[in-house]
Amino acid sequence: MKRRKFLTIAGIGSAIAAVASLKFFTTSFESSAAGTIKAQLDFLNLDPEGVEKFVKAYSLNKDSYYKLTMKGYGLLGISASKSGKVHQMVSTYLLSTDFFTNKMDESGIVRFVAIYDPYARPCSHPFNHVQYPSS
Amino acid sequence: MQVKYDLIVVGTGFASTFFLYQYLKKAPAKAKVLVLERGFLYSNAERRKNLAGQVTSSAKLNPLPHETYLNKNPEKHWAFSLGFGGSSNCWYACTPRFLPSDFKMKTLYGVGEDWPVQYNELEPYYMTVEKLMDISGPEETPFPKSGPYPLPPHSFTPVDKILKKEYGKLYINQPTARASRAVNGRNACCASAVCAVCPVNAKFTIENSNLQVYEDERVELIYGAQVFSVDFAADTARSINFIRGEKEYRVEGEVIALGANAIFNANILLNSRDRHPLTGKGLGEQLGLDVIVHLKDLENVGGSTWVNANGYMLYDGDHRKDYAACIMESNNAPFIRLESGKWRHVATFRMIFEDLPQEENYITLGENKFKPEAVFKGHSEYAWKAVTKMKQNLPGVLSCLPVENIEYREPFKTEAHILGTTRMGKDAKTGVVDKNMIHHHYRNLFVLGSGSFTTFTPNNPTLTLSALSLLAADRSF
Repeated sequence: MKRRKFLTIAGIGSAIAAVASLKFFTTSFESSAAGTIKAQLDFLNLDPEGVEKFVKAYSLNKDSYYKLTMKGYGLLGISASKSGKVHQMVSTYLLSTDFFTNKMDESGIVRFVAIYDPYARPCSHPFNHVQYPSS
Repeated sequence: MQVKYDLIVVGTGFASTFFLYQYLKKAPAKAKVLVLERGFLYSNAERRKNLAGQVTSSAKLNPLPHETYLNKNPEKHWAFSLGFGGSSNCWYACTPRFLPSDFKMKTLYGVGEDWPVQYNELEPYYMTVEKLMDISGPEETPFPKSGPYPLPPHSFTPVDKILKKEYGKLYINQPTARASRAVNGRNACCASAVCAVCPVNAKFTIENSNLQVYEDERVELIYGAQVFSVDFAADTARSINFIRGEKEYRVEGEVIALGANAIFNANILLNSRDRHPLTGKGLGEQLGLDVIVHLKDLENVGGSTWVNANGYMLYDGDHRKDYAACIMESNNAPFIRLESGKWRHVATFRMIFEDLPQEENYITLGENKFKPEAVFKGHSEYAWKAVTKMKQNLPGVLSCLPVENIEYREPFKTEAHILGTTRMGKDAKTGVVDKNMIHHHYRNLFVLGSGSFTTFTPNNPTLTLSALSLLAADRSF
């Protein structure tokens, strides 16, 4: 490899790394997490404001290590099928909306109701025998 | 506090409470009983407040479990709860019985040891515990049972119904202390799936048990009392030593019963210079992992509790000569498949494998006499081989379902059970305690709880350790 070509490739690589690093440090957990949720559920019509409210509430008891990890996953585009953490966050978002009370109607707007928390709202399992008595 | 008691009991968890329950039925009206509880009452109501984000002064009453001992293997976790009621404050209330074969591992399969107590001896005590806990369970079970469960079973999901139809009594509604109906001051379970602290107080705990043990006038309960040793004279336990605040105390007892968990019962004995070679040895528990099953066009909704069912299809048989039994738990947490139109076309099972005591896993004294060390090198090849076999056999077991694919998760770091450090044996050569939970060397010292387990069946231990406590007190007084 000629010196000029090597320097060009190294320069491009460094620039990509710098942009990625800049994006990592300038993106908040909240915006990264909201982006992940929207990307994972891009076939649903999500209320954007509701996603932001959810992420704000969801981040309250999360430590900095978790937030950094999830920012990294967001930047790398890691999906729910590849990460239990991403799956958990996206699932909790859906459980916090009216999606299941609307019987999983994918044509309507999905609206945030309140963070899914069995201690704040006991008996809110969306699939249990109360919701599906005949199954 | 007096100088001498007829009975001194350490701890207020399942083992101690059921032992006391039976003892008090037989003890004279003037009996004097001292109960020493290391922690304090942190009620279900206060725990719920804390988890809902409200401030409660109770939250800091009891030490955090991981701060009370030194875990030499950070890859292995041990889960328990301190304070009044012990681990009834964190258990998930699964109460399957053991199978008769679980007590005969040496005779039937040539592995481990036989338990000195057998299923038929324990059966009446199983019945009593199930009644006292108001267990919900099915009519048909893979283990013999002399009467029905007190409460009707929880509801099956559609997946459970298919498996039940295929496997009959090898697939049952899980027997559980998560009430299927409101009973005895408890509410009905509604599958919140955060059972450690039940949001609706549906599971049995010592606090909500109504057993009236700690209200009995013969019983003196002292909180904040951490026992660290027993004094022996020849083959007799004479007195017990504990610290409360900054002060050390010594109290004499005609009979002493250790009902802390398997880490701290062992620590107390080791601090007491119990020279039994098996004391502290064989620390262990089951191995478990989750399996996610994607289903084609089958909506898996319904069910009424966290674990709806138990499957015994990979449990008993001659394979146990070679590899471990596996029990299946049909999980009904609010899990979701994140795919359009397939939100609940999914089932999850926890596969739980038995294990055998390993000499390289043990409890030993730490530098601080209050803080033992837990050494765990790993599960046995017997258990790991069963994991491999399960992955080969599960597709066949589930072939009655419209399975798209099966995902196997990594094993959990704990099944939240602590077993085997004071194992039961027919003689002092094979066990620390006898079939009545009495120490082979010190004949007035009971060592209760799941530390006594001779082998580690795949089942949850609480029902059995509670039945063993009843048996011990019933036969000994």
